[in-house]
Order: sequence, then C-alpha cells, then structure tokens
Amino acid sequence: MLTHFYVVLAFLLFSIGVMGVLTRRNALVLLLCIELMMSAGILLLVVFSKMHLTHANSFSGAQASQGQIFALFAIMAAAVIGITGIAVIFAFFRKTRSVDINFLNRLKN
Amino acid sequence: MGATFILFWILSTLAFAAAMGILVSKKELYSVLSFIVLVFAISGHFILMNAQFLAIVNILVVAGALGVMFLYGLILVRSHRDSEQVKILYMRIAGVIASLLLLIVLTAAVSKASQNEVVLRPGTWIGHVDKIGEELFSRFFVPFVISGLLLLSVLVGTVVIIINREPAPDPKSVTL
Repeated sequence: MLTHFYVVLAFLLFSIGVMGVLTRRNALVLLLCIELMMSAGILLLVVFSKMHLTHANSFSGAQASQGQIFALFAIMAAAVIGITGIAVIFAFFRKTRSVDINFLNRLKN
Repeated sequence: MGATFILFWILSTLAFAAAMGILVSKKELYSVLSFIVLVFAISGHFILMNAQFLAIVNILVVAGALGVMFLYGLILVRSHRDSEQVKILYMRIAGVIASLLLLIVLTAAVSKASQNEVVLRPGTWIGHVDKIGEELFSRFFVPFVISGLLLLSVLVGTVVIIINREPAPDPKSVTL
C-alpha cells in the first residue's frame, strides 16, 4: 500500500474535524471533532513509522518503533484532552444549563 | 489488487462515513457512536499495517474508556432544548469553504512527495508488543513515567474542576 493513500485519508479526516469545529455549536460534538483530528494525526504517525522499510538498511527497527511509541503517547494525550474537556463541559453546563458554545459570547466585554 | 488493497478501501470508506456521521448527525448520541465506529476503523488500519499493539490500545483507551466517558457526559449534560439554537448560515458556509481549502492545500503540498510502500520488513518485529515494551522501558522510561504523572494530575484536576463548591440545597426544598 502506498503512503499517499494513507496521507490523503488522514488529511480528509483532519479536514472533516476542522469543518466540525468551525460549523457545529455543540460543545460535546466540538470535542469529538478535536478527537477526530487527533486520530488522523496518530494514523499518520503509524504510517510514517512503517514508511522506509522497503529499502534495506535505510531505517532500523528501533527507529521505526520510536514512531509507534510517539503514537502511544499521542493516544494518551488524546484521552487526557477528552476527559479534561468533558469535565469543563460539565462545569459549564452546570452554570448555563446548555452545551451551546454561543453562550461564551458574553465573555466579550 | 490484493486483499490488503480491498481491506484498505473498505476501512477507509468506513472511516470516512463515520467521520461524516460525527459531523452531520443531529443528535449527539449518534455522533458519539459514529466516533466509536471511526476508532474501530482506524484500529483496523493499524492491524493492516502490522501495528497490533497500537490497534488494541486504541480500541481499549479511545473507543472503550473515552467513548464510554463521552456517553456518560452525554447523559449528564442532556438538555431538553435543542442544543444548537443559533444557526448562523454564513458561518457554516465559511467553515465548510475554509476546511475544504485546507484539504486542497494539504493535498497539494504532498502531491510531489516521493511514494513509498508501507510494509513490514521480515525480522524487525516492529509494532509487536515485545519490541515496543523493550523500547518503552529502556530508552523512553522517563517520558513514560512523566506521562503517568500527567495522568495523575489530570485525575486531580478533573475532580477540582467538577467539584461542587456551592452548599448543597436543603433536601426539603428540592422539588422533583
């Protein structure tokens, strides 16, 4: 499988995530779209860790494992972002009884 | 046209459909379920690239823990009103155009890059749990411990954010 297919797939998923962040007003869906963008990035990390293995001696096994370990830390960061975001949304909901982020307009002045 | 090719297209279509499901579904519940489907599709891609450990971790952590956490959050913050009361049309159109332009720019940026195959060279055992564990507990031990500390601080910080500082209401005055 060529790398280009995976790269374009990850870009497609990332763009859908950006579209969701820009168009949806629901805080929970917003957080889901951020997680979607993180997943696209993690997919790219794993793809690039496997990329140079066709050429002999170009890329050692230890170096390729580093990409996947970085992806592991990125999965952990995604989980941390999600849980903290849900906590913030819950605190926000308790004040406003709504998860619509248009409420934050009143922070303007 | 091997089995890998067919599986790649099936999983990619599934991932794309699930991502569109997150984006367009009216109810938050369907968005969360689409997100879980998306995580499974991405884990399928990981298995296709012979990264079994990451595939299992992705399912356990993101689809399992985070998906269930999103569902709990959905139960807690469910409001009876329509959650998106203000629908501004021009902002939506601007958002769609901006993200499509981002997709075009990113795709154009990599269109001239060299193409490589994503394969597993025999004997390297990359992506297997023993190889990753060996690296994780030798060279990456300090970042591993620091990430554990980060998780602990997130645990404490979440409790601090959520904790209710206002005094509890009088039980006699609560009306259901």
